[in-house]
Amino acid sequence: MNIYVLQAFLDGVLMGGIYALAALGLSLIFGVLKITNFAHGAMMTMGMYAVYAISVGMGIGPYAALPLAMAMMFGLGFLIQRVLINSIDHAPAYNQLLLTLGVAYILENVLLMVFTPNYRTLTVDAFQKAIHIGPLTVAPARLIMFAVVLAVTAGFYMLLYKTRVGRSIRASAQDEEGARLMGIHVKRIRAAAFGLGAVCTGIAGGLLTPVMSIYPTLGESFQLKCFVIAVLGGMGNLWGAFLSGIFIGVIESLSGYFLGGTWSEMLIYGAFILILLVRPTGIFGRGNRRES
Amino acid sequence: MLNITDLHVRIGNLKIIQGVSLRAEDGEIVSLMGANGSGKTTLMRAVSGLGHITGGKVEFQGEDITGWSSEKIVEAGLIQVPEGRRLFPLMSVRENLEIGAHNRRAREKEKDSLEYVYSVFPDLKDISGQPAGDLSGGQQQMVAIGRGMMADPKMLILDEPSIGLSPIMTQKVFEAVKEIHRKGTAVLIAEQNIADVLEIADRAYVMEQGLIRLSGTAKEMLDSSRIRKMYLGM
Repeated sequence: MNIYVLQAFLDGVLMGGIYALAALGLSLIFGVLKITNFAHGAMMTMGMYAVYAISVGMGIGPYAALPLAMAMMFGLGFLIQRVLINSIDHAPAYNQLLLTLGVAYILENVLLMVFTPNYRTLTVDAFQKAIHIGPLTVAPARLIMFAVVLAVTAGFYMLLYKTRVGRSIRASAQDEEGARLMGIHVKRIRAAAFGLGAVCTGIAGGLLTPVMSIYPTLGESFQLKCFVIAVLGGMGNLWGAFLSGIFIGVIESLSGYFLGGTWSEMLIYGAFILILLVRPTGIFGRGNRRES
Repeated sequence: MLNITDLHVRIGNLKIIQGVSLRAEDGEIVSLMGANGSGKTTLMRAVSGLGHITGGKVEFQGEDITGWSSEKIVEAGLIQVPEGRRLFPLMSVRENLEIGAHNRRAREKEKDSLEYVYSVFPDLKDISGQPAGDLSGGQQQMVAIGRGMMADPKMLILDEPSIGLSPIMTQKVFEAVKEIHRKGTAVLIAEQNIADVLEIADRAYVMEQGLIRLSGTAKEMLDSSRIRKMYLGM
């Protein structure tokens, strides 16, 4: 295989990890709240700026800033759900969805006001100087990024399948009323799910800060990709989201290499449509088992 | 144990329950009967904190629980096995049962409760690893009742547990209700299967259009010409 193809493949996998993590958050939020979070991209940008601001402000490295940024993002997500979305939880789903779109614009404009539209770059030479792995080159920051994504995804798996809170989250997603009738505090679970979804965006965004220049509307390009990935993965399916994220990352990178960057978006959404035509529940979707 | 006084419940703008009073004493099996759409489910949902109560009062063990959240009502020991079962379809039978013991009181007894559920429904032990969504209706109903038993109920509300089940399954469900009752749990059960439920119930209420039309002991109900004509076809 052509070495450049291999390089493009590697780049795609590493970037796909970020898509996967962000999409996982979207999928989690959808699973529990049954709404698509249109503020997901903007929350991701918040994560980027959180890491940037903490790193610059406190003079610490971006990875040291990440835990604090995660905590901030959890708080932000929890509050957005509890204060805004929750107060209209009797409204039709599309109104809740529009509300998240409003939140997206507010977050974006707050970032514009505070940080201006200028590109910001966090320079940490140690992580950005490319290293060679055989014939391939890669920035350490991208390897760290992927390693953290793997660890966080595994962590989410443990949280969802091995803890009490995780069990309550899954129960609420599968049958909200059943969960309430068993004494689960579904209101709290919904806020926690949104908070955890926000943490996913925070980590995904934060890991990108040492890798690319950031600006307040950067998250928009991630929004739709996350949605596509979450749908392909089967909304609410953790590993499905993960594998679909890698898949989309690779498609994007390879099509960029073979056909040029303008083609990559077209191919992503083209593949999306094709896959849905063949498998309407997504590649890893389970279909709807509720009817039984 | 449960004392409902002049309860009014709305769904949207519709007044579904229009002044219902009903009580169940310690250790009683009380049956709530009535045709589809008479308001049984709405009443029971409201009692469990899933309805819009616009008037009246619900007391449980002497405490006014009107307007309490579902979680708090569960914590107090009033547990509902809802219409449609409401299981967690992707989770195993075992996990569904374990979630039954989510509330603080039930948590410590989880192991014993599980043994107890398996003794009442031995079939569940064999299918404990299967996703609940893959089970037959009868099996699902057993899981739903078992999940309710796991919650350590002081009183169990069952909303149409025999609906859609085969006669054999229906028999199993009623046997289980009797067993739960033998253990000292009060039971409020909504049923359309009137002949069967009157055999195990102490007292019964008949609901029509959001109101209680008739009430009395199970024996009185069986003897009532109106019940015999309307519901038993005799």
